[in-house]
Amino acid sequence: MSRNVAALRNAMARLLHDPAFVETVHAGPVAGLSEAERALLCAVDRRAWSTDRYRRSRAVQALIEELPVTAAVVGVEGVDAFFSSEAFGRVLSQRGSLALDFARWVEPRAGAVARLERAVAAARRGERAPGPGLVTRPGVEPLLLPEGVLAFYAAQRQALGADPVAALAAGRPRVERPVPGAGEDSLLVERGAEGQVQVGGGSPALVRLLAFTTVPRSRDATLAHARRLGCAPGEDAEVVDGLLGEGLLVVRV
Amino acid sequence: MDFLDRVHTLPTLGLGVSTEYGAGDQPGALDPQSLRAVDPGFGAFLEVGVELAKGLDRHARAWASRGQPTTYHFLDVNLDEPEDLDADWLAQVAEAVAVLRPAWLCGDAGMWHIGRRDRGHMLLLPPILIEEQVAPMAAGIAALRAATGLEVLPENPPGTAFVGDLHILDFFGRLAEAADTGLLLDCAHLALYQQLHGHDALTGMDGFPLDRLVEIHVAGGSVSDHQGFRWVEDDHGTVVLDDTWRIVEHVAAHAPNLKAVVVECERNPLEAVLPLFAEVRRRMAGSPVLGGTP
Repeated sequence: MSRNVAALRNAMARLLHDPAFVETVHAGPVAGLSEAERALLCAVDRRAWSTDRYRRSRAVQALIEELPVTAAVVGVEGVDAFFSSEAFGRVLSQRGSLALDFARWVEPRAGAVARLERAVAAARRGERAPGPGLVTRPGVEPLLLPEGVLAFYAAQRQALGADPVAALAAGRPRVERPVPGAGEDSLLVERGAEGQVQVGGGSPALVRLLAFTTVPRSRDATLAHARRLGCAPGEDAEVVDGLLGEGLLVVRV
Repeated sequence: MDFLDRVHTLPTLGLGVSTEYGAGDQPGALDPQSLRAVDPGFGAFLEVGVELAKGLDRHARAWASRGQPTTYHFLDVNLDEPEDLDADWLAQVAEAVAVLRPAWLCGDAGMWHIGRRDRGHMLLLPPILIEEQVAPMAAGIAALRAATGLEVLPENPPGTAFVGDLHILDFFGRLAEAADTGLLLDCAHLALYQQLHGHDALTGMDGFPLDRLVEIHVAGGSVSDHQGFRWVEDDHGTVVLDDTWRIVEHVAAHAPNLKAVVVECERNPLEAVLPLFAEVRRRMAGSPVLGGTP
């Protein structure tokens, strides 16, 4: 019976990051692994998976560096727990991104600040789904956040100082997630030419339109969405062409 | 033309040294140019470790700008994942190749990153040593060779946990056949694999296609212990284990197409590595890489 290379490789990576998974693999059948595959993993001395004592700490550090305020809300333990989660398994099996997938996983506990830092991480990467059509320029992330989250982020980011990892490792107390305001902030998170990421404001309709085109859309679909957002017939094309002219939208062939 | 014909078109580079981004700026690090100045036969070429997200540092660029020989050691591609050989990455490879003008590409054929290639994802794990891993990895090697027009030599990675039922030399032998390519044997990595499995240093050599061997690495290592589990750390120091020397001497005597030897010692000062280079030269005296005939 053929053995699945990807399943083995992903399990290997998980074994190196998660001591609990080592016990799981040795204890009995594991979802996603055949018994033949599990036997190959069990043939390795289990101590071999933990020779690098700092591997998981380095991974936690990398997430704190990218999402420092989120980490300040959930604490170092809250970041560390990601590496024992099924979400981490999906990063491995679905070619995910640690930072982006962590932000999505942690949002129920950290609140909307995780979404903001996820947008910053996404802008830094500048990725878009493939395909032809109109698409929001890679490096621009439109974002709608509850009122007050941006101010909370700015204050906490400043409080963490230049080295958030050191601040959190030193036992800085967790901060309470912000209470969402009644209103909504519409934001554009944008990566500059030098790679720096800035957060600015935009009109709600503009941000919603650019959110619609974070996946490639036909021009007709984009115009229709602009009309749904309140553009009058004729004005829709003017708005879309304006965004193309400003470089916030790009055409993919 | 198959590889055993193509190998004769590859240059003989001799003894060289490796580097990667920023290595030359570390305190006490080896300066390849100084090594070459002391003995041109010791720093005959530079193997440049390339993670494209970091790029090429000023030392690598300066070396290449003098027209001195290089090889390109990739540090960021999982060869068995077709998604890794995307157009953007290949375009960046082409740019780096244009700067370095390497004799070939090489690198550990294992897992350089988890998930997708991204910040915080980089590591190095050995391949899954099973027959099913051979074809997808061979396809990646062939695709990269076609894209760059350069030979792509897979290298046996280090590790403390090897998964699979093939001996690592059997795996790489099958991989080289399937990809119709040459090989890079890291003698220190092999020594640590053999030690980990309780094998003699030369176990598996009888079936290993030494005629496909183009490059070897020699490096120091040290024994570590974790909860009674002993393994060899590939520390690139100047103390080379006896098992590594046995492998080096075996290869020197039996690899007819060997073109290059990298002494991996980039974090050590010049005076500390000169005896190591002299020892490598002495032990490889009969090899074609130094003008001999095995």
